[in-house]
Amino acid sequence: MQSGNIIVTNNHLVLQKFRDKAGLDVKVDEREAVREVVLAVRDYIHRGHRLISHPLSGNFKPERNPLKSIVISPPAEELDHYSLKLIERTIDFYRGKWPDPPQLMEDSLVSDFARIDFELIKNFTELNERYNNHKKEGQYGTETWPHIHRRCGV
Amino acid sequence: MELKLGRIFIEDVEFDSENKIEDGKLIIDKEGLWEEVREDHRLKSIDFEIVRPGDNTRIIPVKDVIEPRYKPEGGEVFPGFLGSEDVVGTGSTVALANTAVVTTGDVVGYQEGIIDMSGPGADYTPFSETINIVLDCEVEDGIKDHEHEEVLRLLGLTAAKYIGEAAAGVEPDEIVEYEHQPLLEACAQNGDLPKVGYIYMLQSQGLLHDTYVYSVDAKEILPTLISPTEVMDGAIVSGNCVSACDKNTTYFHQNNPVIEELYREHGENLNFVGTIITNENVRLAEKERSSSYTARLAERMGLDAAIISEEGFGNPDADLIMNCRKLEERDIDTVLLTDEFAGSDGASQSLADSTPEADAVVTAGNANEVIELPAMERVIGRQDFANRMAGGFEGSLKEDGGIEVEIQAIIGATNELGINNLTAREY
Repeated sequence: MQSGNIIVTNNHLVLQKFRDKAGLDVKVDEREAVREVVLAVRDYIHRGHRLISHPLSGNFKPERNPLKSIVISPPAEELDHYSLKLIERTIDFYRGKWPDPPQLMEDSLVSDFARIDFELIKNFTELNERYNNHKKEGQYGTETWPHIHRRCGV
Repeated sequence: MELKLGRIFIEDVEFDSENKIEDGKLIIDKEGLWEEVREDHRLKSIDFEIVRPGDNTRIIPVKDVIEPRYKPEGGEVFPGFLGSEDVVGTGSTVALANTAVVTTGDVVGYQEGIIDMSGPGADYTPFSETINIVLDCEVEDGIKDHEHEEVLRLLGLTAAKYIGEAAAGVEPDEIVEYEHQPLLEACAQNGDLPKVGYIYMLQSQGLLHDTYVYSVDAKEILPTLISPTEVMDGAIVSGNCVSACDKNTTYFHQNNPVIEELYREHGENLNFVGTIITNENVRLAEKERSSSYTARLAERMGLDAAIISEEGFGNPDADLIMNCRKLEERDIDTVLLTDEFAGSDGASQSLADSTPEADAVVTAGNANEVIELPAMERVIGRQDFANRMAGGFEGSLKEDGGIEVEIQAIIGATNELGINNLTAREY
């Protein structure tokens, strides 16, 4: 995963764990509900960002889950139509059953959901770190790649 | 490769001081079972209960369901978890049919499901028809969710293996032989019958959303070929706590009806040449990789058609649709097995993704349908979870002990392998 990716989230645990990670920009507002997170991501997509994680990750009932983190790419010139389709489908999926903001839900439930949401996107930052570390050490940077000779067959 | 799968049809289950089967009655050495499972130091308490079809009983919250199995000629029952990683799917295996080990526990408060043994809820779960040996467990304080899941998973497998050993020396009531030939031979057979494969999607989104293949976490795999006899012989184990209606319990992996049906049709209407397992991850890039690789494998196998089954909803809909589109692009016809989250009136959109190529889709029902479950005399586990489970809502648990829930909360209600009774037909 390349640096410059953005996590849009209303999950306090994601903010706490990822706030200072290199190459990741965390946009967060804990007071906001999932609806605001999803709509913010749709706006980013219209500005050229691409979905990196699926917006409906986690197999529990959408209206019961008050926390959501979605990873998107840095902006590109062109609109990514697949991302737009998925986010519009997600908005359709939630229509009429947007979950309440976290502060209106039972604390133990919110902490369960916070942990699951965090775990589901944790591997994005782990990959990100690995990528950056390798770059630092020069192991896999483009400058150290061997020349590739074309072979025939297969 | 050949598996002889024997079944002993169990008519009743009792606890006593010896593991054996007599005249269709399974007798379980309760003390011995306790000795088997007590070793896990993370376990705080455990109770064993027997529950029968028709009982005025509710089991809640259910984590996993497993069929007890025994290998009379040796070999592993759940390879990688108990014993070695040895490949399964050959030799003889005996199943204690009509029975199931059921694990319960509050892993994550909103995910585990319900089994009602009688009343209207019983129609929605296949486990109202099995005699269930329920492991009602609590873990020590401070054990994290994912460790709790692991404790229950290992307990369930250990109990199913121990109970299965009662089949030692008992002649099965029925033996079915399943043959699985090497791919080249399989493809060369059955003349012009279409070569059909099975694309078996496994839940693998991450923590508490995991499935294991020979104890390998499925989110780490590339799609790969697996023999259908391996699937029915314990190679795939459920490790997830996702919505109860459409998660594939270990029992469903052991008794996958898609594989059963493909065997039934094999040589008659189609040539069942192989099974590909693939995963359902969270990153879109991983979805692209897995679906491309699945399509590549299917193409290399020379498939004419494939059945694709999903596990879960929402995010995995994208994997289902990518698999469909990429196979169809390679001229491989597909039939999709899924379920729907279409609102309580069924009028909302059913899936979170779609493609025009998905023109043959079988539904296992609408998980948002609401049902009223009456109070039960006996509740195993803890019923206050009804308010918090997927499918439940505030006020779900009524004062008289009844529950109003979406069928999403019932184990296997909209199972996407088609093991249950729900579907929709066009008139």
